[in-house]
Amino acid sequence: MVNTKRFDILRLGLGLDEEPWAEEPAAPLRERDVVFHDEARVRRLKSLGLTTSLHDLEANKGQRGWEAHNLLELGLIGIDAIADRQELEGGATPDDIKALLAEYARTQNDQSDPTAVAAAVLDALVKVRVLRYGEYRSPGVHVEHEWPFALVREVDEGRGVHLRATDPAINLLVGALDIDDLESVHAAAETLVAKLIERGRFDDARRAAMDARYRSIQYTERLRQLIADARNSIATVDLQGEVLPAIKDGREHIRERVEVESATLEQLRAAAERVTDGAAIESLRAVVNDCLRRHQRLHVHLQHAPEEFERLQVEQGFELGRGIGLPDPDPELLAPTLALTAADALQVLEVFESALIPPCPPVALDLASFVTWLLRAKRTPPERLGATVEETEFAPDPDPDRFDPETRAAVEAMLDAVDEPTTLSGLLEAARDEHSALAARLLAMRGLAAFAPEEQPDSDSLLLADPAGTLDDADYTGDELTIERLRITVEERAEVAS
Amino acid sequence: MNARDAGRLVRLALDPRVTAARDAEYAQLIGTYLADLEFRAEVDAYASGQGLLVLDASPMQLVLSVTDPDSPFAFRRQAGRPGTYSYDERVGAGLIHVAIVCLAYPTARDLVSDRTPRLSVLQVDRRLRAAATAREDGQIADRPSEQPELERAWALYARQPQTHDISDKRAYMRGSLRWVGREFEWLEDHALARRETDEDGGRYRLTRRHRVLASQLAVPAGTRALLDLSEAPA
Repeated sequence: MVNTKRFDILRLGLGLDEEPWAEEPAAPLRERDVVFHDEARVRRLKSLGLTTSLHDLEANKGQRGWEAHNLLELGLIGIDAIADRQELEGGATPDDIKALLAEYARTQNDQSDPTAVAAAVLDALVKVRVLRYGEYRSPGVHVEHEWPFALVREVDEGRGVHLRATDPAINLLVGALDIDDLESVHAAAETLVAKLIERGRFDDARRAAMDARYRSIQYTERLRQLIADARNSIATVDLQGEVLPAIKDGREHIRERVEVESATLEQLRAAAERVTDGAAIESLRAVVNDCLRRHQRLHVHLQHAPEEFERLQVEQGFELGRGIGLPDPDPELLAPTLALTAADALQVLEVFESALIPPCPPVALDLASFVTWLLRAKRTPPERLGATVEETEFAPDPDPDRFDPETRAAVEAMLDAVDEPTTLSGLLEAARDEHSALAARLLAMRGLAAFAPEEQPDSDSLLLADPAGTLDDADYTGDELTIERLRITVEERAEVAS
Repeated sequence: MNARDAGRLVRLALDPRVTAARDAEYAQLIGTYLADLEFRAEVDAYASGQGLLVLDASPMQLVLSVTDPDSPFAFRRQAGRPGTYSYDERVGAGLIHVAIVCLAYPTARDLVSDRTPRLSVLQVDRRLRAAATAREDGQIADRPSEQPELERAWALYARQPQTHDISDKRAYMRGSLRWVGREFEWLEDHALARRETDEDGGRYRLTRRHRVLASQLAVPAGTRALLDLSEAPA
């Protein structure tokens, strides 16, 4: 862009009409420039608008007689608590948060009803607001957009409703604008912590560490979303091209964070020895530890995700389009329909639906069936009636035996006959000659078990094995073992007893 | 076997609650339909006279479809009447039905297989939300206020709250989980799904009837409509 400008000036100065370097691609950057500024403003506008629901609540508290309460503060406490308990799965329930807010409200003023205050604050947090903003892409054209947002989302993942702080809410907590590259922000926050500790400013460091922790909560939320999405559309997702690289990046990022946090903890340990008042360091350490714990759990989760995806894909054996003459519903119907505008999509969807629905005989109104219809059992919403009955799960069937009973009996008889130390190779040969290769295999395993007995109900701890050079056998390699059997006779036992 | 029996069979096939297992007469008539070519021709003719088509016949049931969109048997979602779906709900309901079919039969091969898959309300909601987040990058998704119909379908779904429990327990129709649940109930009313358990907002097993209708009619019709739309002059 600078070049173009310089050229403009040059051209004016020289009185040129035509570009002397016409073949040079002159990219029309001006328009994009405008768009870029637009987006930055939209982001700032959104940040500005985020707090409206809380401000409204605060501004109108007089009408409810809650002048003594600071509702803005309660709102932030609520988001804070929700973000704090937000893990990969699950989080705080509405009741938890209401109870917590009620406690704070009671501390602020015990004259009004704290539960009502708490309910109103939580209500404001989950309320979906709409922010309007304009888009000015070309001169004179103004397109207004609506951005619906909420600070807290109610989510039901199948285990009851719980709350999750949204991206905007966490941005609000760290006092930041909406920044897309979370990894960089996250890394920067942790570097700041390390620098502040280095300079001995523990209070500031603690504040910065809190910010870093919110960033890791936010990061966890994004990764959780990514994994959940991939799991849900495993049939069509581009595992090798998209999901796995994203997970790999995530793991890399988390690994770096864990390293930095461990280093920070080490730094703190060193600092604690120099300083007399350890309280600030102690609380700082608690925050960093929490980050570390979150990251370690996330890392374990990320480690297993790729295997799980690959297993799912293999298990479900999805192969697209195998010439049956039918379209594949997922890529050929759902995806393009979602990309349409609502009005166009509705045309497609109505055709789809009316084809899906079997003939509906017109309803002839008769009183008897109308009354039964009115009196039919209410289906929704499903209420929880007492505790759910768990389905009985029986222990899985035991694994089938690898060795048939005859082989087992033969090998046991051979081992029983061991009276004096015998070499494994000798036993193996005897087993092969007298019985079968399978018996030899069982014998080899029994030999191993005797050498390193496992805590198992059927392990024969009276059999001992000692290494004795290298095994000389056609099928097996490894250490030669000397096998020997301990014999406890009745006389010996009596001796021990006496 | 006569015209009366043909009419009787069509009448029983129209009732989603009747199955051959429960109704001996239905079972016997289907048996005849499958075995007796003459009776079959008679039933088919009787059905086509009413704007119906026998799509599939199994010893359990006859699956009919409507060939004439103006037939009294045709399904219409009337707009603009009190108690009916809002605009958002209509788009949402359509997306939910497509998503159910896509989750149950992701590929063409699944559409002709013999499976009757189980789906939960939560699964369908997640699938649509996942598809929406996948599109979120780089697009201005926020709805233009003056032309709400220009909003993208995925954005319309994505902006619905998942559930709405805190503010108002009575407003149970709000929230996308409720929408999905409602569409499943609706499928159940037409014997296209059967509720099995309550986990994950309700888990339903889709019936053979659903698969037949989806594979033979709905999916081809939907893709054709998409094609028409892309070919239509803008």
